[in-house]
Amino acid sequence: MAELLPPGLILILGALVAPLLRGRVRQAWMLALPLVGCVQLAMLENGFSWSMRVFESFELEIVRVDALSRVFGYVFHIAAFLSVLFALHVKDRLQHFSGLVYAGAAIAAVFAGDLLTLFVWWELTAVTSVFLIWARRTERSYRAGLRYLVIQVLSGVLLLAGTLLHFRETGSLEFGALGLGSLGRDLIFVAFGIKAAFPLLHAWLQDAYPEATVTGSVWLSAFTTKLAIYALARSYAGTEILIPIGCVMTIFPVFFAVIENDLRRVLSFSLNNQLGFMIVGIGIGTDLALNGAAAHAFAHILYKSLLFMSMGAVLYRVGTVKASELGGLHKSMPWTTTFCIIGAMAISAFPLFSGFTSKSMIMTAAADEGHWVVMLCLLFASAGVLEHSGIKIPYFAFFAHDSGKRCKEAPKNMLVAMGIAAFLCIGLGVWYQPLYALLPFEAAYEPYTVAHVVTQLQLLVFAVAAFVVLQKLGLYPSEKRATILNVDWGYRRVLPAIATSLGRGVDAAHRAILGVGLALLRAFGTRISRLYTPPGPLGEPWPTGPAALVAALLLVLYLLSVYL
Amino acid sequence: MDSDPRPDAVDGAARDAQPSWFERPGSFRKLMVALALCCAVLIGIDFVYHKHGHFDFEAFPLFFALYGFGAFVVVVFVGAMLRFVISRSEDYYEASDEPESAEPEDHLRG
Repeated sequence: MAELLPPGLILILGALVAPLLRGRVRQAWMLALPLVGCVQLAMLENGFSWSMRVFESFELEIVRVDALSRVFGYVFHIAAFLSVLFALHVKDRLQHFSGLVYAGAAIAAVFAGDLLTLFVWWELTAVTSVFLIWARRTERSYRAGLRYLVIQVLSGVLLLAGTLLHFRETGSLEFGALGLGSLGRDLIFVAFGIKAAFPLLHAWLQDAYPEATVTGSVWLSAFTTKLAIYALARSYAGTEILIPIGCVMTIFPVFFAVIENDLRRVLSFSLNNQLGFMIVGIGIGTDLALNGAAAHAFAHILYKSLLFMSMGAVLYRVGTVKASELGGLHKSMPWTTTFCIIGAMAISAFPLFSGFTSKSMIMTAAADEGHWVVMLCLLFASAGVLEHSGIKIPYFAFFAHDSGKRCKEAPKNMLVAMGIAAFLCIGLGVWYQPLYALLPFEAAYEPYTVAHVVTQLQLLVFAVAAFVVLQKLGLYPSEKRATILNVDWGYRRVLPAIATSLGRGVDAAHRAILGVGLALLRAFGTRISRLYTPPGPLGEPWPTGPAALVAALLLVLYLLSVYL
Repeated sequence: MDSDPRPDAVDGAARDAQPSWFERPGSFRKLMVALALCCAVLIGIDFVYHKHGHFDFEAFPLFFALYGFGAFVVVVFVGAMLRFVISRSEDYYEASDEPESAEPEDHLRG
């Protein structure tokens, strides 16, 4: 029974039916889809494969279930369920439809066994997810969505080009371990890197996610980037260049997050920083490190969804998530505040929360391999996470100075979704064994050693103390309404400026050439007309004598021309 | 700067009128005492538990506490410096689609 459909297709086909249903039936239907998908996945055994032969030479493996794809498959289903629940009150059918198809495509991509199948689902995630941004139906979100779509599709095109080059070189389409070294495989690496928001390829993330709808950014935060993490873990595990890339990714976003005013954009920077930890794990490539990357992706999807949900709830009720406009909301939204703090503690990796049991695995793996610089980078980034996600998000939204804004608590479905996510954030911190059992490799690891707990608490508690000290001394930067420039400045300002000035140049040259040509023609015309108008030499009738002479000369010339 | 009371703010339940636990005068002090206690305990433990770190720097007394404190300060200062370089007005790219006063009812009232 479970073998009839590829995983993910239940969500896609179910999404086609959903718009036809009404009211509670539709709500129940949409909630059931991820649950049924999850059961289906549980029934499929590792090693299950479904292949198809097309055009004689292509062997496509539509479905491949193994331990690595299973981890991501499960957490994608959970994320889809939470996103549906969080958006249950939304009446806009476009958002439900695109969200479900987007999640389904991401799940199907995880279980793709060859690069062509991966490409198809990869592109489907791009074209469906953009509607979660456009669904906000503002000029601003329309533009942001277009920029997002161009970059996502570019990633797909690179993936396709790389796949074809790789196929011509090796005759294989397998979506397995690739590594760098040929043009085709390098292109695939860049394609994955765009979606994983590598440094300098990252700006689409902070540009687009905060412009999505209240519920749209919850969907977006879960799938696209983690699909790329999965793809990198599958094909580029142990690729050393990933270690410095990951380190840079963990560090640079924290500085931007300090001064960013839009709290959903702060979360997008934070998302970028969390991906960095996973990339480092993949780059190290040992069993423990890859387990850590998978576990961190799992935990991260849950607490990042939770944080986006809490800020979504604030946006829904208050109408803004700008830190400069918020504050004191804990009185109006006590439950949202509590859930947000749980998410903040999970992402900061406090012991007993999910971030601790997953992130410490990557850091231990880095230390095991003797990467002391990497270790220092990750510790630094951990303090940075605490700054923007652990403190800034909950503090400026719910505490700080009272903005005077009063609103209702978030709708019930939002609270239940946040509650489940918060429960899982604590659950995975306390009872982490089921997640560890799910991880793809055999690698013994115990998160709760005295040294782990003490060092992590020292790092975090003293960072909190630093916050208090800086606040007291008035050195903590206040929140200001501003646009923080990012790499997208390059293609939103510099490139258009270059293109505009190039266009102006061409235009000016065209005008100049045209002007000179016309002036010459006009001058010529004036000469001619002056020649033939009365005072000119040909303008008046000649006397008979000279006229006869000229006629005779012309005749002589004519005769000569005949004889010569 | 401390508060920005809006005359037209939607008045919620009665609980909004009373100060919450976090707003009571003694609460901040209690939180600070708790934090100080945590710090003290963590400093104390540092000299008791058996360290078997991977690297030499981990053996340095209170390395993680100092690193956490220092990293946080560096993050905030570098971020604040960055503001001089990459911060622009809010409608730098395009006009914000949010009304200046973000209270959803405000712009409906006109």
